[in-house]
Amino acid sequence: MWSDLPEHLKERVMESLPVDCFFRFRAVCKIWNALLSSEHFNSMARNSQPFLILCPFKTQRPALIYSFFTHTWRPISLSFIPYVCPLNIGGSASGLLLVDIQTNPWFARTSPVLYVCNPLSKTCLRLPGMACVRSIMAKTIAPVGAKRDEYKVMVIGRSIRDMVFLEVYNSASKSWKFAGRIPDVVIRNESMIYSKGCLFCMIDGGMMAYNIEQGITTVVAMPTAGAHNVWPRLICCESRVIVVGAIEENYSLKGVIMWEVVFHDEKMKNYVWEEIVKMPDSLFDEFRRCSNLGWFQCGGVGDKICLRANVSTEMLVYDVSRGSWSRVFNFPADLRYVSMRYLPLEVMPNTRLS
Amino acid sequence: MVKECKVKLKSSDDKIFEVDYAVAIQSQILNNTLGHTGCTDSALPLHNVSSQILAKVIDYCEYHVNASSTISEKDVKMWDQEFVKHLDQATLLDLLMAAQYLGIHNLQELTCQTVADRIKDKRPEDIREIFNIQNDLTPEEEEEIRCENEWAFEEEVSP
Repeated sequence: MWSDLPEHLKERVMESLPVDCFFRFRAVCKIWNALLSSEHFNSMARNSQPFLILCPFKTQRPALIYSFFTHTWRPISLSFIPYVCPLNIGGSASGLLLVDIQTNPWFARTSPVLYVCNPLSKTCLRLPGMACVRSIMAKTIAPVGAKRDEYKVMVIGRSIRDMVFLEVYNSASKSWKFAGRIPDVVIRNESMIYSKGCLFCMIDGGMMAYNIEQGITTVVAMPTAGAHNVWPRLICCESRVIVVGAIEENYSLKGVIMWEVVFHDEKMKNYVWEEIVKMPDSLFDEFRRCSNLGWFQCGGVGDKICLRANVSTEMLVYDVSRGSWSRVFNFPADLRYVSMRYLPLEVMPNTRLS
Repeated sequence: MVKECKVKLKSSDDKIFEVDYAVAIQSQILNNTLGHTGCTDSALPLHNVSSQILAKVIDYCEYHVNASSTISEKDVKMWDQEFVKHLDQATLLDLLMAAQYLGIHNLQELTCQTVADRIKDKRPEDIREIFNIQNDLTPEEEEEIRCENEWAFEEEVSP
């Protein structure tokens, strides 16, 4: 009988549950609610493998979360965010999403509006207006400190005088600070990543790396794969800067290779791309078959990299720490063709934004 | 030094079980006790473990005596899964308590994880039924919990 179990054994059983259950089973009774809401369980949740959240690009659909514990996909509504036009989600950190709600060209003359939101607690915070930037070119959010209870938002964009600046918002000071002038280059797509004091984004000719403290910019050439073209996607996985490269020849996908950039000096002039892994043939054949014109979606989640060929109901997961591949078979079929941003969502219980 | 003697164990309902020394000392408690008393002819009383459960514990320990040295980890895992597969909830919980009482760490882990695995897909109302737990939350309190953690209560999207 459950009631015969000593308290510490009941707790041991609960600790063996997947993180999702820590939240669902709070509704069992008062004692379970108190126990599962305690700092002990909250701490376990914070330190567990983050969920994968799939954020729709510029549409009003709900987002989707994938739990690596229960292997299930769940819809999660973003309708708690006040928006007038489709959301543009620019990144995630510490369980928070960075949301840009003014990507409609009709609003181009007014300042951009950024929100930080916690989809699990359905709370959001509107950030104050930026000091210089009037139109956003790239943005990202990153945790601050070991406890990850603070965050910073970094935006590269144009000022009224058409100069390109970096502004950084810090959650502790609740204010924006000018953080440097950026070379005026075309940033390929809006996703920018932050790692160890540097910002990285894709530009024509490669990847721009900007060391914030030193104000130094470097252009890093993309990794090569013999005579083939490499179509790179930039992702971040445990602070490692990774390029997931589609190896292409005549619009046909020949392979998928993942590299990590390793800098040998602080000025980022000496660097090398180290190959992490090449997608094995056993998985690649199906992957290629399901990727129209070589398209696939990918993202870094905790220590895993998730990839899905755009027509497939199968998602591949590469565990970087273990060096192993696994397959997730149950991707919802009716969402196959929807473009989504793949982001990590750490489980941060009780983080309410105000 | 591996002792060759047999150890006698007495369950709470006075049944005697005889096991090899090596099997018995997988229990930390028995290991400590036998360390002090040595091999004796009298049966060690296990007041908290019924004969039904003790038989199962002995099955487990007898397999695991040799497991680490001769059998692959994968096969051991498979045997463990088979071992718990057909056990009902009540037996599983009794086994968990016995493993904890006797200090058999890997059996405790196994039974603990099995109980958790069997309930992880359930809804709160199912949990209450399985464990015979009274719902002492008011409707408002329960609604608040469900609302605050809405994402965890969402039905999974089918493939």
